Amino acid sequence: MTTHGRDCFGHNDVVQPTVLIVDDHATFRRSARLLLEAEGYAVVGEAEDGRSALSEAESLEPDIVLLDVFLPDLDGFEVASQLTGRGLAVVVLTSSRDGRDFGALVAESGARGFIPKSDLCGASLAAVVGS
Amino acid sequence: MPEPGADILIVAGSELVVSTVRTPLEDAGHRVRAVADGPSALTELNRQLPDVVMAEWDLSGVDSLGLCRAVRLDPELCGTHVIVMTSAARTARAAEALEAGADDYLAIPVERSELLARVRTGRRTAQLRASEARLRALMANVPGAIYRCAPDRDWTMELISDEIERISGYPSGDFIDSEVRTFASIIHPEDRERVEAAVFEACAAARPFVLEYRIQRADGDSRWVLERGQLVHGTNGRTWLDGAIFDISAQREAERERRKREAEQARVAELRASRARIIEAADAARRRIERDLHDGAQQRFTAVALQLRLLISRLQRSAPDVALPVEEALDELQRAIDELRELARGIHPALLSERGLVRAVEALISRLPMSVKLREAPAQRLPQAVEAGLYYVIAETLTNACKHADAGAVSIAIGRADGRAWVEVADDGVGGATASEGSGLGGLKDRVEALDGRLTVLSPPGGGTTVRAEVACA
Repeated sequence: MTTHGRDCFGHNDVVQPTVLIVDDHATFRRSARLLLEAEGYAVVGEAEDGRSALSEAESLEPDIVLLDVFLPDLDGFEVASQLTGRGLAVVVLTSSRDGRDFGALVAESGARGFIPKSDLCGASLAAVVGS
Repeated sequence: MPEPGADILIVAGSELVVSTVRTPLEDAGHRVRAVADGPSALTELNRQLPDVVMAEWDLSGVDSLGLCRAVRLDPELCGTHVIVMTSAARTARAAEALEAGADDYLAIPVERSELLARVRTGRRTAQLRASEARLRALMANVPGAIYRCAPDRDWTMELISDEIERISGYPSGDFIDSEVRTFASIIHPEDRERVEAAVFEACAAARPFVLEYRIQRADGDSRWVLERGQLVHGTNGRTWLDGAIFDISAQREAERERRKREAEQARVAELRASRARIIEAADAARRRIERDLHDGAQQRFTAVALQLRLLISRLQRSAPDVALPVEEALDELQRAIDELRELARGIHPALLSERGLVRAVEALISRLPMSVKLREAPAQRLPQAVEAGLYYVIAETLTNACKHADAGAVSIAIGRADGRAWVEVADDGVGGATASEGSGLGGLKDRVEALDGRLTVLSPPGGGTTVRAEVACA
């Protein structure tokens, strides 16, 4: 799903990539939503665990799922595998832990890439998605 | 039922005497041998001891008195019953024969019935003696002192077998009739009252007793003995205590050693368990601190970073000159976040709890500036405590290989078999590492031992280092 709106420079009718944010920390979801929306993304939904991420991704059909690695129920890598396996969205994993901690798991999960939470911005997301 | 015939040896020089007694005895079913003189008699006695010896007075070669004495003095022969045969006219000398050790005398000629009655009595005496000899042999061979004593406060001994000398160091004769010492006197003073009370109580209740107490030996040592006994009623209305005393010092000592060993083993097991609990608690605390840092400070800092980023993007459009110091603040914050992340990872690698040992080790390897190969790893996860223990062994060993060993290549193998899990880390570095106290490897040794395991370090100078940890893994 893509949506139309104004881009960050106030132009109308720019195609905005849609994002589903999955994280069990509400603070992060809120900050990420504000930042990404300010930078031209349409945050179409939020989920706080792996199961709701899967169902939300199915119903909202976002372009990108920004997915936290450690979720309270399912493992982020597993959720990424399911999402990418079913071709539901481009998955970008994120964590406040160092991406190097995860070794080959990011690539194995089918995720497009990894962004440390504190490095998240429109540009870093675009760089990973476009890679 | 008639008694089986007795074995009888006739010693007589006169054919008349022989025939006078032999025929009726054989007719009565007895087995009779006859010799004519003393030396032949001794030979026959030694060849096969008869129940009854019937010796004619005044034998050629050995006189009857000599034969009686010889029989009585020889422990092998003294059980036989000796009847001296005299002519009726010489019965006055019978007392002399009895004095010399004969059991009985008989005036010849004799009535058949009397002859047979005397032989029967003689045979019974011989049997009693044989039975007593057997009993004595048994008593001598029982590994305990068998006794009969008066139920008095001295335990005055009527008899006590020689074993008491081995147990107490005092000969048995000392205790007979309390000749030299009373048995009570060798009971340890601290036990004497208890022994007396227990024995008298058992006697009053007419039941057997079993006691363990200490005695004081002649050499001053104390020994533990086990005594079993009971009150028995003898002849003439007398009562006795019959029983046996066994030296159980060795068993007591073995039992004490066994208990000590068991207590020691229990103490070691408890120490190990408590050490394992401490390490588990420390691991749990590290996991909790890492999670708290992750869920708390890291999330807040991240949120601030994102908000600053948002602010910067707005300022860059509206007031770019103000944006610069905010960008600097973001950089500073980013460094703080990085440091906090490093700190959290050092406290506990989240991947270890979340994805297990193998993934955590793979991630660890990916960050190292040298070639590390994980050549063997279990397919299934291991218990949390085991994973944590082995992870820290690998992490510390890799750190050493990086920092000190000048290693070019490292290989890691992790395995699990037969209730054990193990890890082996081998590098091709300079060697010379030890698991001494206070070193990093020394700390690992404690950790591994807390998991009922063993850490071995093989590190010859110039020959690389191989660290192997093996722990219990149910």
